[in-house]
Amino acid sequence: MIPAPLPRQFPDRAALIDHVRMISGDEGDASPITATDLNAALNALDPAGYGKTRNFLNGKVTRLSAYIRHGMVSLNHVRNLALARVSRKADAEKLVQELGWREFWRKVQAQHPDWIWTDVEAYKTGFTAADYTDDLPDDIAAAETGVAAIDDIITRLKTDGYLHNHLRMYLASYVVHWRQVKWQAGARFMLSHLIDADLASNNLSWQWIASTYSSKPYIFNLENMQKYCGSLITTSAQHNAPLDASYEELSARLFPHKQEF
Amino acid sequence: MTDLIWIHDECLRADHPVFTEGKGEAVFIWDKDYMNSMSMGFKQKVFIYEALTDLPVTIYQGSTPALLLELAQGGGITTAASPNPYLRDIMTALRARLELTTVEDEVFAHLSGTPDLRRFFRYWNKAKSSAMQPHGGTPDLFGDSFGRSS
Repeated sequence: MIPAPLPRQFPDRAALIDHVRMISGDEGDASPITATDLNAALNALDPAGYGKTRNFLNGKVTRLSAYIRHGMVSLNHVRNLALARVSRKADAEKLVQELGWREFWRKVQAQHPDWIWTDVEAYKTGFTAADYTDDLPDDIAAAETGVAAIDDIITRLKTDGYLHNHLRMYLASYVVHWRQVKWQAGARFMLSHLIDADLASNNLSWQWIASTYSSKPYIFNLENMQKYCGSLITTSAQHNAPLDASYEELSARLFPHKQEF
Repeated sequence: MTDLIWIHDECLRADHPVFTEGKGEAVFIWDKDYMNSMSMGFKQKVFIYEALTDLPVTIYQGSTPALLLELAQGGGITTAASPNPYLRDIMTALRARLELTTVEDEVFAHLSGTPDLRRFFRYWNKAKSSAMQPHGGTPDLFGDSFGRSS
């Protein structure tokens, strides 16, 4: 028997959110980012600014990921817009290349669906997959790691359902390399909170961080966070001791069995 | 027999080619099992539902393959192509019972041949010249060597 259609009109957003709670059986709050903000994001698209500032937390990133993920705007449309907004084609290249990453992940997923949840290659950290924990530790899920910057990122993820790409990289690196947790556990955690959650982009990016789909593990340090995040998250040394070291020190500490740095 | 357009979570825009190439009523199936298999969280579900309220689509709740088969009654279904293995499994199940047509989204970059997907830049080096042109430029229909003077 065919059920009655679900409603498409609501008096306000709160009523829609209540309805989704009811039909999904889930609890929680909605993201402040709404599906109706697409035109504002497209109007704000600044390809040249993106190219120069995208790595900074307050940089001119597009915030288009959720709309692209759900097919609400095509990569073709965003690329055409980017090219039309610059006087020199080269000024749009970084943005178009990032769109290329999205296309790349989708092609990988189509050709190798098994790579979505299994290691593409071995870890290049001096450890084997068996050395990593299967489950996400509770303190990470609860944003109570004691590393203030990481807890800020997790809180932001759970509140907004969105993270700047650099914050995603920091969090993934912390989970896999500082805590030695399998990338799959972290990927699943992030999928369950992001409004732009996408198996291909998310999981294959986690593999890139872990080094199971790249030539070396991605790590960062507190100095890098301070440069790109400023005071937008807590980056004081006293609250982030595990991150406060040079890359050489961190590599030696995190990957003691790795032969070459 | 009823022709349908199946709108899934990767084609939520009114000018997606699936709407012009498909026939019949457009439907979205709110499928908890599918969403849970994708590890979708509440915030993403709200986002999707908000997007659906802006589309000419009827929303049903249930199991995607079972409900689509019941709605179509042997008619054809058109949907957006996807690399997502969970969606592909559903498409495979539907194909066993009726005619399913998949529609690709607009082209981002034209590629000749199968790209090397072991590393991004191996792909990007082949895709870049097309990707940096509006609509991906003109496809190189004949591969890298055809028509070149030697």
